[in-house]
Amino acid sequence: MSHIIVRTDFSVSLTKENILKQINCFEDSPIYEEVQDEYDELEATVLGLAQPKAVVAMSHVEKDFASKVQLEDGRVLYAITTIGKGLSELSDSFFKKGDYLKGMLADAMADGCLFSMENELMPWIKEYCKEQKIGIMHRYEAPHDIPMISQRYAYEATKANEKIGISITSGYMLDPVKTNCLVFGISKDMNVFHLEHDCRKCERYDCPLRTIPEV
Amino acid sequence: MSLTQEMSEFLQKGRAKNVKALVQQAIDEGMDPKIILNEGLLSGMMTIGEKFKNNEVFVPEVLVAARAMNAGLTILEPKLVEVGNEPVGKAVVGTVKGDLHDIGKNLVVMMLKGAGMEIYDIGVDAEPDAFIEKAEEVNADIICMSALLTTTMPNMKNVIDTLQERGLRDKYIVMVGGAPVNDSFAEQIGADYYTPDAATCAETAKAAVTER
Ligand code: B12
Repeated sequence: MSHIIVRTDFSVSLTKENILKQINCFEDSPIYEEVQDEYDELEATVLGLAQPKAVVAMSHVEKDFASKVQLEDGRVLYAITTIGKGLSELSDSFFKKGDYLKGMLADAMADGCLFSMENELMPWIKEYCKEQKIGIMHRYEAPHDIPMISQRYAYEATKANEKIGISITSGYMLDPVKTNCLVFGISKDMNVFHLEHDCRKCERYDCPLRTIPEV
Repeated sequence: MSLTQEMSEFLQKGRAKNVKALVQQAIDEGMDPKIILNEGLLSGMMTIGEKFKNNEVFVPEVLVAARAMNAGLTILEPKLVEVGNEPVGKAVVGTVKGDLHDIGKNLVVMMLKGAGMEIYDIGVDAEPDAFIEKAEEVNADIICMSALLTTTMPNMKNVIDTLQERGLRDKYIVMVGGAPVNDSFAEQIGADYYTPDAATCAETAKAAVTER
């Protein structure tokens, strides 16, 4: 049985400029200032409601999944991060009240919290790998690199339900929606680290956060 | 500029307070609530939808406009009930089973409201039965389904197949949408309409319901 690690010590933070960009609000918009004010009003509430939790586990991969990926030692590292359901509920309540701007902002801020958690988790994963004397060969994302069902494998391997209260839908989406599933192929070479999301593989060409790394 | 034109202009700029004040003024002056709704609020919302479709404005501008519309509606609604205003149509909207993405669905709800429809939002991860039962319960005209994952798109077909089995398929207009959905998929599963965004969804839904 592989070792499962739970982490809750995140200090989630947000960058206003990125959040505004994410909802397509740019400096030349006639409502840029208004949106900024709304953001300022919401920030403390959002950060207060975020309940960051992560669970990490090493596992051998299932057959149908293994055929899609190149693995050096037959194992992957699964990491599931979540900020809980409070922020989705907040966003939803704004939409229901007809305050669509706050609803959209709260949603984008919730995504921002998830990204922030990921940034905090990465150095820790590096440390962990060093201890285990392994590297990271590849980061795999569903459904481009690996089938959506790999979210279920990750969910099972990390005992995400028992450990951090996550459940899973019939479409293999993790519930709460503000949950992220990371899958890393392990390398025997301790010096190899390919942890970051690779924008080149994503088909969301209009993504405001898209950065195309130099090839 | 007429009072309703002014209302529509303020609405497009997202000025909720001004819109509210003008709606109140119009009511006080004895204007027909239906005219306030159609020529003030909804016409402003349709204009902003059109601008969004033509890439003249982005999502945030649409959001503040819709919020201003809602502010106006809160004081207009009791008057509309008094005069027995009928909505353009009734729509059941939800994200299909297995899928929790809800922003697109929420925007669809917002724009359909802006087109004068009465909305029943059944949320996310919605069972096929939930769509059908709600539609039967409220005597809906149209069922709108959203899916953002290729793994959950087939659940749109489940809803249509279930409608068919129960002999209800022709009773409802079925619309589908969401990032991975397209025209050929819609045709393949037997949906009536697909549109790529919330503004065109509202436009098409309104036209389809009115045509009936
Ligand atoms: C935001 C987002 C999320 C948010 C969810 C926020 C929320 N509350 O919904 C978060 C970050 C949580 C998320 C998670 C995941 N997501 Co996601 N997500 C997106 C993203 C970037 C944008 C979706 C969105 O909200 N767009 C903005 C709204 C306004 O647009 P929209 O939903 O398309 O809706 C518009 C139209 O489609 C249309 N429309 C929508 N519904 C309907 C209905 C009708 C009837 C009509 C006519 C029109 C219509 O009108 C809307 C407004 O104009 C998309 C990328 C994309 N290209 O869409 C991926 C995307 C949908 N996600 C994807 C995936 C795979 C996931 C994950 C499973 C894993 C991952 N790789 O990220 C996880 C799941 C996490 C989990 N819990 O298990 C994939 C799906 C791929 C596929 N082929 O199945 C996408 C396409 C990204 C990608 N390229 O990989 N996601």
